[in-house]
Amino acid sequence: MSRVIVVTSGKGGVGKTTTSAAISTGLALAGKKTVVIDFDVGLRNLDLIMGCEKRVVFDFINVIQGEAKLSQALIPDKHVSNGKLAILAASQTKDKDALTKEGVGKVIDELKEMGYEYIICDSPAGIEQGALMALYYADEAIIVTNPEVSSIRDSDRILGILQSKSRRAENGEEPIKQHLLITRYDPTRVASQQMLSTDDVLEILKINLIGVIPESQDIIMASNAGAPVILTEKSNAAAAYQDTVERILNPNQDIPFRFTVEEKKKGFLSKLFRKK
Amino acid sequence: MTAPNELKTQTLAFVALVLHDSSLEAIEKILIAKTNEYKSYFYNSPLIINIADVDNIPDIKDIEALTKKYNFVLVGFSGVTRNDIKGRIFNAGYTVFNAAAAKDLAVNQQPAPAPAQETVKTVTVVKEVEVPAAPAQENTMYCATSLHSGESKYAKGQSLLIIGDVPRGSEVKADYNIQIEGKLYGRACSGLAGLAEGKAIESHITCTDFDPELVSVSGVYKYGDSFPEEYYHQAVHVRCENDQMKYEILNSKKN
Repeated sequence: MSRVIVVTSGKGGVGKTTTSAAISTGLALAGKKTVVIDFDVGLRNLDLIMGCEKRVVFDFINVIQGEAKLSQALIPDKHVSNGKLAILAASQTKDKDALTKEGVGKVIDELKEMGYEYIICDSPAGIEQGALMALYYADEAIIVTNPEVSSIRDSDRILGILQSKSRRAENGEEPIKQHLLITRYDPTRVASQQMLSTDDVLEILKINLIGVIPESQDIIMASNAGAPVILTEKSNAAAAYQDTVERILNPNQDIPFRFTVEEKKKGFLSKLFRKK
Repeated sequence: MTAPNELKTQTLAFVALVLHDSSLEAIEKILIAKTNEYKSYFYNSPLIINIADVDNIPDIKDIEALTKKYNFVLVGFSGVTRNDIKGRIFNAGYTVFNAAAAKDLAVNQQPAPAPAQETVKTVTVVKEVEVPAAPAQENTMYCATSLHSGESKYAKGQSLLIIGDVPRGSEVKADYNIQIEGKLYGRACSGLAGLAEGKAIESHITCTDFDPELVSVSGVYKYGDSFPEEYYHQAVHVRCENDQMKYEILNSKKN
């Protein structure tokens, strides 16, 4: 049984692509056959974050327009050695209107037939054609939100669209399962009331929380290196994404949220007399 | 304000097929031989057939089909002495070139199909040129600026010269060769002419800083991360030889 998960937000720059890359890598590392699709036609970045930009020959649009077979366009990931992860890159030079409902549906059906257990759709920002196509066939949605008001408002707008413009909504089926992922969370700033807390965000959006990713320099470093951040060792962001993957795999399991509370700063004396 | 259209005299050089045997077999034989020898040079080349040395010619539609088959653009005939043949040529929509009376002919007759454009250019002197020993450079599209990510530049029927960079997420394509006086960090595909018909032509790509996403030369491609390490960020020349991609460093910036 395949699960089609859209990673969306409405607002740009909140971490959708970073999240798509991290989650798909985590799922593949857990042995799940996973494909991650970039829906951001014209502004593609997933290939850079996944470090496969020099191996893109055919893209999603080539497949939709019948210029290449799906198997030719799927790029095997080099970070996950078990061969369980593939990337379907977006076209950088074509127009986003090239994404059609029929074309996208055909590709997703074919991926299901190929035995992909998780189909992660990395949505572009906004509520235009690309974003609508990314969420249309979704069974579940991960709404990526930063703890600040404009991001929350845009996420709320996307929740409304998920409930009205998805295939499940159009067909009157069970609604898309919505999960909230808070990124760039800084407990220190929350404690000093410079940033909204998880509770503040949940109070507005009222959906299930699936992860809280702390603000981390590791994310920029991982992006620049072309390796999903979940692979970074001794990284809080990686550990938080790992917890998120666990929650996707085991929805009924209670996994505590880490990195949401301010770390107590060590005082002068404790620094001086710390244990060796 | 746009300048008015002009009717001007121009001197142009054409490739001429000089017939000593007017049979279709003999015509096809020379076309095959020359297109095999100089694959890209003759692609869509205007062609004049000189019939001064033969008594008669086959059906002009058959000649037209043959020239089309080998990607020539037939524009007319020269060395025509018989009036009945002249009539057949005009009826088929072609012109007759005569060095002595070319000026009158060109103005009075229907213009040849290929050069007919917004400005009517008359051909006054037809110079029959020898086929050069090496293929000459095709027309070149010139681009004096760097591209941006997402931008695509295609030199259709031409080679492409870029004075600037081809960054990540951009692509350059040409029916013939590509020369980049700058970085090649995006995609470059040369030799697209004839690829769709399965008739790949020889082509090459050069750049002064090599770190591409993808390189395709005459239908043979290679991932950007699959070149030997020493080639990156060097001036590199990539070509296709016997369906194999060949590449070499033009000069070493590192030394």
